[in-house]
Amino acid sequence: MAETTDLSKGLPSHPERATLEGKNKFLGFWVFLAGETTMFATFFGTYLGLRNGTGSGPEAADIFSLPLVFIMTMILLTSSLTSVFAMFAMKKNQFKKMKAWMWVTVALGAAFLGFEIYEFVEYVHYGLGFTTSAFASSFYALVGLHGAHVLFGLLWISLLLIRYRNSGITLTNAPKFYVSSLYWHFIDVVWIFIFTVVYLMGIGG
Amino acid sequence: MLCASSFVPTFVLGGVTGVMLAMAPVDHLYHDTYFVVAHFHYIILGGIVLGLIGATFYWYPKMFGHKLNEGLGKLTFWLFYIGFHLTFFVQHILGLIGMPRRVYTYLEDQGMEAMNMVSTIGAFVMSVAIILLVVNVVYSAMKSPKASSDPWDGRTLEWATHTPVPEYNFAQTPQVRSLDPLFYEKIHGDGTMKPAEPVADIHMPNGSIYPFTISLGLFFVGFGFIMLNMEAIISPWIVIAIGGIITFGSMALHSVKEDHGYHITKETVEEIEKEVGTNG
Repeated sequence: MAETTDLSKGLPSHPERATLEGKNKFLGFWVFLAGETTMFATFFGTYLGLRNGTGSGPEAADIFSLPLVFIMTMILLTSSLTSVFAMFAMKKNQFKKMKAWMWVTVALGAAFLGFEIYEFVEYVHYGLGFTTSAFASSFYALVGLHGAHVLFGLLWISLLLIRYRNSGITLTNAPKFYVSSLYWHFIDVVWIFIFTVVYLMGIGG
Repeated sequence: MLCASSFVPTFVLGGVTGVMLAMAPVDHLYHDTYFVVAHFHYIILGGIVLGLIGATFYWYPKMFGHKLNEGLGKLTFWLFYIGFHLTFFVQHILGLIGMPRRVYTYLEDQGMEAMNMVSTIGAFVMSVAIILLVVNVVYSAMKSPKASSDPWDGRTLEWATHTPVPEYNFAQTPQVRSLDPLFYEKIHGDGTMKPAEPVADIHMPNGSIYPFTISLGLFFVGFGFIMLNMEAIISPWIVIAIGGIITFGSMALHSVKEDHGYHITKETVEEIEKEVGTNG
């Protein structure tokens, strides 16, 4: 159906879903996100079940530092916002602006990842290794899985930005950028849950 | 038909025993016994294997252009069904009188010999049924006449297109007026699907090796994780890394290389339609 899209008046207002291929990407990606949700749910369930099993290792309240996690949360939320700006720019066919906002998103994501690595290194210093206790394992598995998703998102978006650095917005790459930003929002939402379930509940209750 | 209707009693038995297993107080009695084995085979045979066999017979003409032999098919079903119940029904009782699962042998003089013998005979009967199915495939490939595009007087859309199915499935998207579209047309129309669009160029996706390589990489990763507990010649982490590179590299390539597919022109579509239309 790509050939039936009228491009004589420039890009359509929703270039990401103007083609059948783009629409299919959306559908497929939502199914993928549903699967991801289920996977994270199992990790959350595991963590909730095991989080009091600290054994002789440190407990959550001993090691979590709210200021650090708060900064991380703000960074990730802001990166989600900048990716929304990028999508606005895309719908207005402002390629340079979109690229710039996407790179800001990547930079913020990298900063988040840096903080998370720092955080993990700190915890290891406190004596919380991956196999120290059931709490440690389930914590590292859940938060580490999220971190791996952040890393994947960073590489993915960077790859798209490098691949399409000179191409302008087309009906082919618009869905790709849009779907990557959807993924980024998803990571953000998962982090909100981690922030609440792991950190706030760990410190407060 | 036989497979589909025999699914019901089999799956009900599996379901009832499933409820039994879900009751924690009584589960202490038959936990880790042959009762569990019997239960899940009733589920998996009833729910999956009977469906697979039934579906094989049902869609065989659409896939390969001829039906499987009906007599041999019925024989396959009855042997399989009888063999299955011979094998697994007695295992309920074996489990209840205390035979543990996950061991290949059992104590003598506990009254388990006869039922284990029955079970073994049943397993052989099932094997004969499956071998018959293979024989049927070979036999039908040589003897069966060519099937028409709608050999079962079907209800759904796959029977409305030609056999063998052209690569684009339908030259024109059919107009669907009901949940059983072909059946609806047979009752209310002239029995053929009406097109919902004019004949035009058809856009097709290109074949792609990436799905295969993505899963191949995951296989390496999984195998590497298993190797962590093995004394291997090479470090398992190398295997895991190679798998990861294959999987994520394939994803990256898929993302970087634009693949717009190809078009089958209107003329080619009409030619193919004329050709397959004449031979059924």
